[in-house]
Amino acid sequence: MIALPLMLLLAAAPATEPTPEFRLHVGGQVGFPYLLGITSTGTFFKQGKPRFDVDVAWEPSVQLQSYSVGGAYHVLDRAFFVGGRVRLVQYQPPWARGPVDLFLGLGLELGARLRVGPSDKGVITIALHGTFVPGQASNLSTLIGLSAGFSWAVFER
Amino acid sequence: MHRPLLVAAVLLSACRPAPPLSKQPPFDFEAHPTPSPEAFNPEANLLAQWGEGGVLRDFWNSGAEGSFEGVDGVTIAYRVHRAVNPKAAVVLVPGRTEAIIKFAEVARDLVAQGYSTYALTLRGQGEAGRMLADPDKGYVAWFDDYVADTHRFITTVVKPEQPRVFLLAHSLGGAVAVLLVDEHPDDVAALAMTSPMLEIELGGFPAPVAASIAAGICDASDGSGYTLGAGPYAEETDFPKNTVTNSLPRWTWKVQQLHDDERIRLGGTTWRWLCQALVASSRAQGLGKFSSTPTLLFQAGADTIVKPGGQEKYCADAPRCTLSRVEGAKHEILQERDELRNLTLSRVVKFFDAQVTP
Repeated sequence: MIALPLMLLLAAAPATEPTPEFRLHVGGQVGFPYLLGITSTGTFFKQGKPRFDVDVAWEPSVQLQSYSVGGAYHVLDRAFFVGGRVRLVQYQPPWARGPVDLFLGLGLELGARLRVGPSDKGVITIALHGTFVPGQASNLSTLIGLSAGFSWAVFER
Repeated sequence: MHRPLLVAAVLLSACRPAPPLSKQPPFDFEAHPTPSPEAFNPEANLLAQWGEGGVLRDFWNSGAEGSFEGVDGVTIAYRVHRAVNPKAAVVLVPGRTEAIIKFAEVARDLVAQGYSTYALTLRGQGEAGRMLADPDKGYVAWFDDYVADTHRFITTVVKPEQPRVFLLAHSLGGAVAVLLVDEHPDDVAALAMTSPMLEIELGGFPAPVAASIAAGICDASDGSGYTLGAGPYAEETDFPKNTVTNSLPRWTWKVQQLHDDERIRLGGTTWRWLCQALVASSRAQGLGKFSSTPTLLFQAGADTIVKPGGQEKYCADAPRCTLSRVEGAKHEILQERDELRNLTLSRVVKFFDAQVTP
């Protein structure tokens, strides 16, 4: 289902068009346990290849909430990346009855960002992530998850 | 690189000031010779006591039933047994699945020691109202509703009769009690807990996997489905397989209660309950440093339902907490064999007596 439009997008991408030094993408993602997310990612290019990403993400859901800032390094300037993330994690939604605690978490991420579409302006991100929350009790101090998202370049220079 | 982040984490957790109390020495049970464990009910003839015309059945029937509207209009049931010239009121807060009737023996023992007992059942279980159409499902919308109901019970039912209130809470009730004394420190003068649920045993699942799966399912659904391996109520038939007590008479009595009254049966937990309980128990174990309430915490030495780490953290942080480990006891210490149960209950009474006349 997903493969065909992906192939079309990849095929449509011009191979030799010059890429900028910086692009800002906005997009959305789905995942587990953070169900939904809205992201804004800045990608820094080196010799036409993505080298670093920085992003902010808001991942609201029925229970778990995350507000985060992340950074990623593209290994060998390829699609694969390793990254880190600082999250403010809420284990209850803001509308919960009773106290709602906010914890600071530190995370590691492994994933890939595939550039697709006209001028490679689309980015498909798939990431595996783990978050350690030092202030939280042991049962909830580590969360692992998976996310997949799509974003589009809205600014470049 | 991570040092500033760790500093920020520490700052975030340090926003709330702890009371200026230093850790006090543990409660000295030996300094209080009475009551002895022999003063409490023996298990040997428990079933006969509960039979028609038996002393325990008569005692239970002498109690005053009541109910009130909890959060969102859920009916919360309670039963009061008044002592003559009571030293104080003891509010009994049960564990998950437990009905008020399970407290009959404990209430009788406490009344004999001069304490009026006020036993309530928590929403969604026992004699209380349910929030889902299926009464078997162990569900709660928000954990804080347990706390709000208990606070309402104490302030509207108990305190108007008896201003000095102690709490005796078990397991889930222990987590509720810890949150209650944190949110409403004036509600109770002292707190005793058996096997408080301050860190849930997650079985074979590593905590990160269990927590992530639970959070994800609660995010993606209303959480009203049973958790993995859980299901509707099924009557226990095999004493050796039970995980909560070593006492055959007390286990048999519990099974009989559930057999006789289908209203008080409850099945397994739902995802929503698990998510709420994980968050609340994790929060509760970190509240010790903010507590100034005299607290006695009994840890079951052979507990397989809750983990000891949360209890140890809470009690180590709480300036006025004494941790008493009951070696050999399974989760339900007050339903255990006499030598474990009655020793525990004698210590509870010694502790409460000391709060009456410090």
